Amino acid sequence: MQVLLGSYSLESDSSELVTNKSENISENQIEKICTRLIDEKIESLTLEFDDDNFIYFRRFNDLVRFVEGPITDYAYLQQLVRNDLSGKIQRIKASTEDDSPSPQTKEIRKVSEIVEINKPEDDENDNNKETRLIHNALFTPLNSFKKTFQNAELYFKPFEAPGGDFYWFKDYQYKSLVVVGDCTGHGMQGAMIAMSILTLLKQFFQLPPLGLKSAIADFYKQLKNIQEEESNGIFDAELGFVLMDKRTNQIDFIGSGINMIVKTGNESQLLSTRKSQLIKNKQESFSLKLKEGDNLFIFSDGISDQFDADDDRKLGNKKLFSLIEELGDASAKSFTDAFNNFRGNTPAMDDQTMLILTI
Amino acid sequence: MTVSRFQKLVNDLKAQFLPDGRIELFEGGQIEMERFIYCASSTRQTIVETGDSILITKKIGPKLFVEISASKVSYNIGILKRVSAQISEELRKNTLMTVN
Repeated sequence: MQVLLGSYSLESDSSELVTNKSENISENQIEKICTRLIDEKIESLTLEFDDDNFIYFRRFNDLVRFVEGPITDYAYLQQLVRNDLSGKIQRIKASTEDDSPSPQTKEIRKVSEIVEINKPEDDENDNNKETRLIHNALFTPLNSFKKTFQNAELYFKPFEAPGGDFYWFKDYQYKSLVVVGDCTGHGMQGAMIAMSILTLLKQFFQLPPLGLKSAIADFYKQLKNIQEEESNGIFDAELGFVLMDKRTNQIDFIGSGINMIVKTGNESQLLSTRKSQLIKNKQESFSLKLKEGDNLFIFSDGISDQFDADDDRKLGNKKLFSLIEELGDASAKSFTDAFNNFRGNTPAMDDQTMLILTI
Repeated sequence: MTVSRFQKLVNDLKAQFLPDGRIELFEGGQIEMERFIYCASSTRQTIVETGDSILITKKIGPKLFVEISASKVSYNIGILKRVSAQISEELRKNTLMTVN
């Protein structure tokens, strides 16, 4: 029987072979468990401990691999073992002699650089500092997208700080949900509505939705109930939801005014949504099977409503589609260069968000 | 007996969260030592994947365990973990209410 002993540190993005780091369970018991997995043809076993660590065992015919780590990294680490955590295969007894990681068995896993651009230009400006504080407090850190995506980049430019556009990410066991929203209004009003909608989203999507279409309809019913309680009718948002199955790279997209461009190899596809369809309960949902390296460009209407350098024509979805098709790479920098080239010195009229995700 | 005391609550929770699955309560003595939950005293939950089913055993109290099983076709581990957490929370809450 062969057992691969692994321990992975998410913080340093490196894996090391360390045997039984947290010492929740004896070497002898680990050996017994591995034998049982093979004898009883058990696919996998997870042991969770009181100290918030876990050990995940996975059987591959007569080989058992396991990984040990903090429970907060469970989804990522067990996926790593499933996908082939490379390392040195050892017999358990041999590993007890030396617990220190061998230099040959150390593997460094590189994660794409995450770039956030368009930060407030003047660091000394109090308003900008406040905006950045609100932004950081409200929004999911871009770093957390790397649990599902190879890379995540953002172009975020509020018409008036802090702005009513937002984005949110939730990682489940096998699925991930990404939401981009554009709330009514700008500035502080928009930000306050964004905050309320983010709270609703966090509450509503604690569990992964079984059907995205029905979940969105239910979510909008909640929004409608709140709208009825306020007199100004400003508590509203255009939303775009991407539900991704990490096992198959299958994505479902549905929205109410937030659009998405999917770039796969040399082909691109514009998936546009309208709020009116949602109100009539006739919303269209898109389902696509993607592969590694494909890119998603999810954007608010502030991007497509931008006027050109002559302040004459709007960018529009079609031109934006061509602009993205012609990008050299799926980086926020490339997009910003192309977008700035189009608009020249014409000011923006709305909050602008472009979230770029690489599968 | 603790299990019979909570049986109705468990049945209600099953109907609410896991209509296609199985939820059972066990007391310490009923759990055979072969169960993985007994691997170490600090083990609070185990998740076993076999064929097309998932089995979660969770320690609710020192002598009370809940076991949940469901088909992989209908559920995944993440959902079942949340269901098990919800059930233990409900049982703990109910226990406190009964005592008071």
